[in-house]
Amino acid sequence: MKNSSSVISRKQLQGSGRTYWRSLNEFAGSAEYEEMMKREFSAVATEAINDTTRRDFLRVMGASLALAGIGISGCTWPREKIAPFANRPEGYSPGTPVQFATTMEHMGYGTGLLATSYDGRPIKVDGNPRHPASLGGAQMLHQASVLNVYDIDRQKSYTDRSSGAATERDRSAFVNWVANNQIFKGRFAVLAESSSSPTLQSLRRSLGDRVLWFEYEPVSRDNERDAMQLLFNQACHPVMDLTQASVVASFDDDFLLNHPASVMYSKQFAQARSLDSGAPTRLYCFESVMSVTGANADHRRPLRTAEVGAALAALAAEIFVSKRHPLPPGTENLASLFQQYSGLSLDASVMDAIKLLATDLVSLKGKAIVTVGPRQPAAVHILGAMINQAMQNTGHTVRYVSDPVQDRFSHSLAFSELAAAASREGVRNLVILGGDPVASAPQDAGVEGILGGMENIVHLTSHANATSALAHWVVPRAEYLESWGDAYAWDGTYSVTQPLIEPLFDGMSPLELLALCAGDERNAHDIVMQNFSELSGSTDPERDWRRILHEGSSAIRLAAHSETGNFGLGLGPMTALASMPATQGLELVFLPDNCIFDGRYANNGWLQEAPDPVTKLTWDNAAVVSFKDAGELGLKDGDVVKVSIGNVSTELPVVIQPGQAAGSVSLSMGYGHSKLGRIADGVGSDIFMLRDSEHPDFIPGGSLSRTGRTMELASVQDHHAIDELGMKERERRIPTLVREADYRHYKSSPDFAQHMVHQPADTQLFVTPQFNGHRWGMSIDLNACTGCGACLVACVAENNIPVVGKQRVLEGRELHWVRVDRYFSGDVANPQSVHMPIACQQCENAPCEQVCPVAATVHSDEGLNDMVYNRCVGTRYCSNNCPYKVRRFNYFNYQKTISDTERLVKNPEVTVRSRGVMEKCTYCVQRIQNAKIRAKVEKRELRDGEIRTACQQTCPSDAITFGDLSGIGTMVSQRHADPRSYEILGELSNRTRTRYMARVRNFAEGSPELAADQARLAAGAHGGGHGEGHEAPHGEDASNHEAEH
Amino acid sequence: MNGKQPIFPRWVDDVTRLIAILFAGGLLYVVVLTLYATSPRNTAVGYMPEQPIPYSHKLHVNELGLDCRYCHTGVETGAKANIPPTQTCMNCHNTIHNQSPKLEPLFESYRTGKPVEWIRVHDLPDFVFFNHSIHVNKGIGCVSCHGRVDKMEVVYQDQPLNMGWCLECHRNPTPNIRPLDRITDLRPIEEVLGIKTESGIEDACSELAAKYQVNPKVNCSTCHR
Repeated sequence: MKNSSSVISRKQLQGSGRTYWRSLNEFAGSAEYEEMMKREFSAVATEAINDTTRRDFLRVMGASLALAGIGISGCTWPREKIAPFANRPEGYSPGTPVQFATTMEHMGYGTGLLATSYDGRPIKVDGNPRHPASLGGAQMLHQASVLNVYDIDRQKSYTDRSSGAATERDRSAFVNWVANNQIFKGRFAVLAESSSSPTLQSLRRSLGDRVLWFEYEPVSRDNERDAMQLLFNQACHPVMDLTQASVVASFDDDFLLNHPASVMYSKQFAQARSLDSGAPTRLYCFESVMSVTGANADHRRPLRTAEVGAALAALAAEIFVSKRHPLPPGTENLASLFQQYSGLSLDASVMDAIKLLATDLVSLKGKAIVTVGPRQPAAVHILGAMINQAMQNTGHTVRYVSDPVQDRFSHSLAFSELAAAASREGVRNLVILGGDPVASAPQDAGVEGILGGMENIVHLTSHANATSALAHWVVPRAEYLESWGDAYAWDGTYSVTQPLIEPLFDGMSPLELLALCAGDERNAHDIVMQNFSELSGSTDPERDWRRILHEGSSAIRLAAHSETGNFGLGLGPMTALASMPATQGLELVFLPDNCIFDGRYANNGWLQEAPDPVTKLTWDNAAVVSFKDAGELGLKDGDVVKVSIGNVSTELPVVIQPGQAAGSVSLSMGYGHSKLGRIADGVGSDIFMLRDSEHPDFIPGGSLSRTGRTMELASVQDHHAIDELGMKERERRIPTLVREADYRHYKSSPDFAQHMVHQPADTQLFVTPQFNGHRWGMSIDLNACTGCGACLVACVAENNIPVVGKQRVLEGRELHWVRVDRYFSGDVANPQSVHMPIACQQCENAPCEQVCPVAATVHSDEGLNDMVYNRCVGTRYCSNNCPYKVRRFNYFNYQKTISDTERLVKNPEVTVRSRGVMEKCTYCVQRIQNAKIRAKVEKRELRDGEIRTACQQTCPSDAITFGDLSGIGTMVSQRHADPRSYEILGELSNRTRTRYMARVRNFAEGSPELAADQARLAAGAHGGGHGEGHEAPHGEDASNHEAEH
Repeated sequence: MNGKQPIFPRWVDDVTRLIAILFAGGLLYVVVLTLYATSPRNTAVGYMPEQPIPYSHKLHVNELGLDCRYCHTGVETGAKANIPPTQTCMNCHNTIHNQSPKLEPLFESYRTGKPVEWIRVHDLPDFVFFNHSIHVNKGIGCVSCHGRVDKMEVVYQDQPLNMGWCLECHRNPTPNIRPLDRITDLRPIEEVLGIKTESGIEDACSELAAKYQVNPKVNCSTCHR
């Protein structure tokens, strides 16, 4: 049982695979997993306990007694001071949180946000409901961005190396240096990060020929841009309207998470998947790496990233050759190329899906979308756009919007052009606006050489890094919550970034630094405001400025692009797709990390500790390999491998990921720092050096070799494992936890979810609680949930949940109040997945309450399961007795070790818990109480939807509904009454207040997925509709679900 | 066998003494602890710190007739009543007593823009989430928690402000209810209502409680979050 992969294959051959499983270790029953089950606590945890000797114990006890003595004598209130304003701003009431509309840029595009300020410090960020690209939702990284402000490892001073040795100076020294130096009077180059800011561009224009502009980010969408430039003779990008689409086909595009418009697309996708308007939108996905989008697909086919283009070419051949669909005008020259495409030899299962997709596309003209991901070469984007054009999707489900920055080099050309400018025009001065190009550039770009040839380098950066080590001036960067700015969203909406706080470390924004270089003496506020009034052409700029600051978005849009592309021009690049890419060695795919992106958020503890939505890994990156490759190479989870390409290599631990394409290894960026900050340092491995200019996104010919070492990976998926008996019971129950069916089955029996488990008569051991007033409840729609993890980080931000670190996560001591369980089902090489957010279910008959010896967890008369920290003595009986395993215990006083700066992010509305107490989801009781008080003070009834929990508020796909179950017609009571609604572990008669809504898939007619689903239902038909019988249904249910294999 | 053999060995004496000492000590411990826990020092009743400016509520409220809300502006709308900014004081003190050396910290704050650092008197623990607005809007007057501030030369804590004391009122709020338009009136309820009889006062307060829909909760999460 050494090798989990071989175990899996054996089990598979025997056909005894389980219907649902949580991780491969569990699936295979690996030795480590069984060892883990035997020990109640993980090895590290028990070893830590045993290390304490009796003598240590006595010493500690003695010390605490002595401290107690001091404590009693000093047991008086600390004297607190109240420092009121000398002159309080009008309309400002201390202690009352205020929200401001602002904008955060990510991947070069803005997302409209509402930032909450409490007495002048930003403590929470949420989506702005009035901004069309966020619609009130926010992703993990938006939620966590507020923590970046209080990062104590940020660059804090102006480091001056202009005259040799580094000295720490202040802002005025730098401003003087710029003013007294002639360098910005002459020509200089700017190497910026992606930004859509029109004000930044207007400053650039004001510099005229003096500035040479380059843009570089390690994660770029410029392949798409290059394709659109060719087709439309203008840089533009496609904007999808998923709500109008019945079929969406993603070719390696993770539009639900790694996309500048992921919030907007998640909202749209949830709407498209909703059952209110007929069948849910069908999603096909062709990708190598299991992405969040892939995890939500009805039909997902894993294939190497290099083959995704071939799959799209095969689709074109299927449509235009097999189905003889006419080519759109102007593309007749492509006919023979498409003939060649029919010869592509793809895997049979991929071809099956392509055929189904082609049928769907042809029959649903104007109601489908083909979308191509940023890793794919321009040719694939051209072909995707061409298919959208031919299928009449363009103009209906896809439109094009001009790029905000037209005149710039592609990211892939940034360094060669910069080098050329340096040698040709003798540019010797460089301003780097953010990022770490020295570390993140492709290894053959020669960035260090280019920078070495510069006389003056000014580097604006949030953290000291490899690039700033070469800079002559290192300028601390102000976060977006500290600076004025503006941005366009992916859909073209203009919005403004407004600061909530003065820069904590006196930093500058890119805008301010460029203005300084340009000799512009206006402050950043005035620059942005004046640029806004020029853009808006407003007659009353003052009023319009105040309005955009209040609303967070305006009517200003990027130009729509309605001309038809010249697809005939695509012939040249698309010829490359006519033959299958060579398969040599393993393909290495470089991904932005699902949590810390390209590494810019590496020092953010909330993101490091947030489990990756797909691998469920915290605090590390890994070489994600397929089950097949792992079997061939004899690898198992946690084996450290040497990943090599050519003569460069790095070492990473292995994670075997169901659904990963065979022959493809995915590596996420942004880890392996050594001098960035106390969170980031020593976490994971750097993979940037594996990339070269030709292959910045994926590269063939890689290899993995074992180093013989292993590493513990802090994956949260196997936590809460119990003994074998418990495991068996849990396995049996998984299909009853996540309930799903195909749309056809749902149509014939909409209440299928309620008949999947036998609900015994509701006999109560205890007095049945009665609730007369508000009855708070929650509904989570599994059909909408994409598993992105935004709820988890929102909860961390709202409820002051500490970061515990990798070691504690390994011990199973993470403190997240929400976890997102991930279940796989079906074929291990290409499974279906379901995500299920679980927080306290707020049972009316709460099992935790019955066992607490000190009444530290009790019921409120509104049905909340209150947790009273001051009463808790830490017996942890409640956690033992909780069937949902949602209670978290504070083993350490995590709040004690953090600095005063980091404390500023805490939400003053929520108790900061100390060591030794249990904690868990409260349904954001602080929000409930404050809303109730507000309504009473205003002498009105509470409105439905007025109280929103933090997870609900941020959810990019509106999967979570919260409200009053006793209210008539409230959203949540409607959802609880929905036939899809069910209670998890309802057979325990806990009467949970949180209920789930079953997932409904929409498999294509004739697909293997549909056949499997129907087989499962046919096998389960006789088990359905169980009424009074007590013995049969349980056992039957279990066997039914196992019969799927 | 005539030398009486003790029934118990000699060391039992020591043990007995020890037990007696422990018992007496334990008793003393309980007594001291009880006295300590219930002493005004612990509940902080009467806590009267010296403030940077000898501000007299007696003078301003009683003799000059300022309403509480002139300075404590947040009390009806927010969780916090708020200590007034320097600007509020200077509305009058620009012209009145504008040379007084006692007010020097105030003038300095006005000149420099730095706050006057007052010492907090009514200090609830950080795990208690008290909201002024809901109490004031439901008819709980200032006097119920803060006492006769109009008679205080220096402000002190009048009530214990502990959980038992809070719950007493949350379980039976009626005696503390007063008309909303007299919420800052610090006089006893009989003077405020002008009713003499105890039953009359009780009826009037019950009527007000019903009118204001006073329905306080005693859930843990009402105050602890």
